[in-house]
Amino acid sequence: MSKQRHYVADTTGLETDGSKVVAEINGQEIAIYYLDGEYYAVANFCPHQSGPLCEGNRKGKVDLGEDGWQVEYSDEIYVECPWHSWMFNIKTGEHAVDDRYRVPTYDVEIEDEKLYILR
Amino acid sequence: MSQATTQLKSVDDLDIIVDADGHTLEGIDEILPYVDNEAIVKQIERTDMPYADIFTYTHTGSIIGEAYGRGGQTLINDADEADQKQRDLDDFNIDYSITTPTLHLMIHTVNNDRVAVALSKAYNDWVADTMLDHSDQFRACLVVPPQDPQRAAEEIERRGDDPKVSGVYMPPGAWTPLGNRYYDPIYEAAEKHDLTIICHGLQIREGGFPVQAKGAQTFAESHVVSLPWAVMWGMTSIMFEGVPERFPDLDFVFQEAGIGWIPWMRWRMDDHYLEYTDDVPDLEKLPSEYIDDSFYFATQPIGDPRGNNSHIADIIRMAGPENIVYSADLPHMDFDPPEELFNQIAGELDPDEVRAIMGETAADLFDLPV
Repeated sequence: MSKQRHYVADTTGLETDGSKVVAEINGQEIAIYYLDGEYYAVANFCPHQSGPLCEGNRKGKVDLGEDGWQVEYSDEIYVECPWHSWMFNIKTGEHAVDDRYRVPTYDVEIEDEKLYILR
Repeated sequence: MSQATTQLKSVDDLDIIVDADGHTLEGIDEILPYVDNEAIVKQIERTDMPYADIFTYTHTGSIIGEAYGRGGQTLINDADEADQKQRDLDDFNIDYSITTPTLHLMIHTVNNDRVAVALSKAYNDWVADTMLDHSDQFRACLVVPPQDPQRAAEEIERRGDDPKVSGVYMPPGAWTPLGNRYYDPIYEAAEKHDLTIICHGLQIREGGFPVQAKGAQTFAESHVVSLPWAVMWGMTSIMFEGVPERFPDLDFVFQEAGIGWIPWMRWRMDDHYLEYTDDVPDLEKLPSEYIDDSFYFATQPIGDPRGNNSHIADIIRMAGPENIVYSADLPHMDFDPPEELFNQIAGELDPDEVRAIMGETAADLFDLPV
């Protein structure tokens, strides 16, 4: 079945890095984030215990540096579920440390300053 | 029909049985002649109660004579240690014993670091002299002083190439948790010599963990929780502080905590890793995957499933059959003979899994001749 295009929001007000909007599309809550000049759509649903993922904070991920001692903070491209702190990459939908856990992501189209997702 | 699929009717059908947690019953009087420093010998000899004045463990609750000591109902008596150990193996048709100490499980409670270093070396020389030289069926676990990781590493360098030395003991009740980088010289030396890290459950006889257990009225109540708690703490620290990532060739064996808790801990550690991702930057994969790769669990005390053998088999399935190794704990009074485990799993698990658990996995892990 071909994907349908669904209007979500205007780009106005979604032009600062990290801004987001949550819309309901056919009963499914989906968030659109503006990150690094691009728009990314991700389900507002945590596959851990079905929490409202995108109501959580956006943050970076802590990784061990090459020296095995210093820790490094990544770009803030992750969203942390407010229920149990599971973190997902907003751009890919993958869990921060285990890509076997994944949140659905959607293609976003922009036309006449309006944002649509394909689903 | 291949050997692996042949049904196993009794332990006699097994090619190899390994006790992955046997013990010596060393007393301080036996170890003293192996201490190579006169001043330290004098220091120990001058104490009224070396088990309290040199080793400084205290009991969680009351201690009972039957528990570990020679005064109680152990299988061993005052006869020659090696002869008794050999008799135990013969009685139960066990092919190899991975032998850990009893008194020196508390090496971390020795307050004086010089004494701890001296006693560690003395124990290792004593066990080589009195045990390893007397039977090809004994394998030793080195005692090293966690008080001084650099000298502990030197002790591993000194004794680690003996083919009858199979592991290095790390006490889960030590003040500094076992995953701390403080111990890295020990782990590095053990990895270099292909020695397994052996973490044995402890009746909590020291202040390190858990402090609140002090004051129990009975031996029984403290023994129920102390050994598995200590091992859980040691394992969790090793895991989350990244020891298996820093030393990927190390294997770990956890002894005398039973196995019923392992499925739950696998889940619990994975869950915390996924929830507290930023807190655990040292790991690159799920804790349960490190367990699959390099953590092994000795079965004793296997427990009584109240007539339903499938319970133990189900626990093993959930824990990972490849990571379970039979242990007897001989000669301590709560030992499990091989049949205690075999009879519960032989009709439940695949015969090749039973063979592996009863001895083949340990033979591979400890590089034992088969």
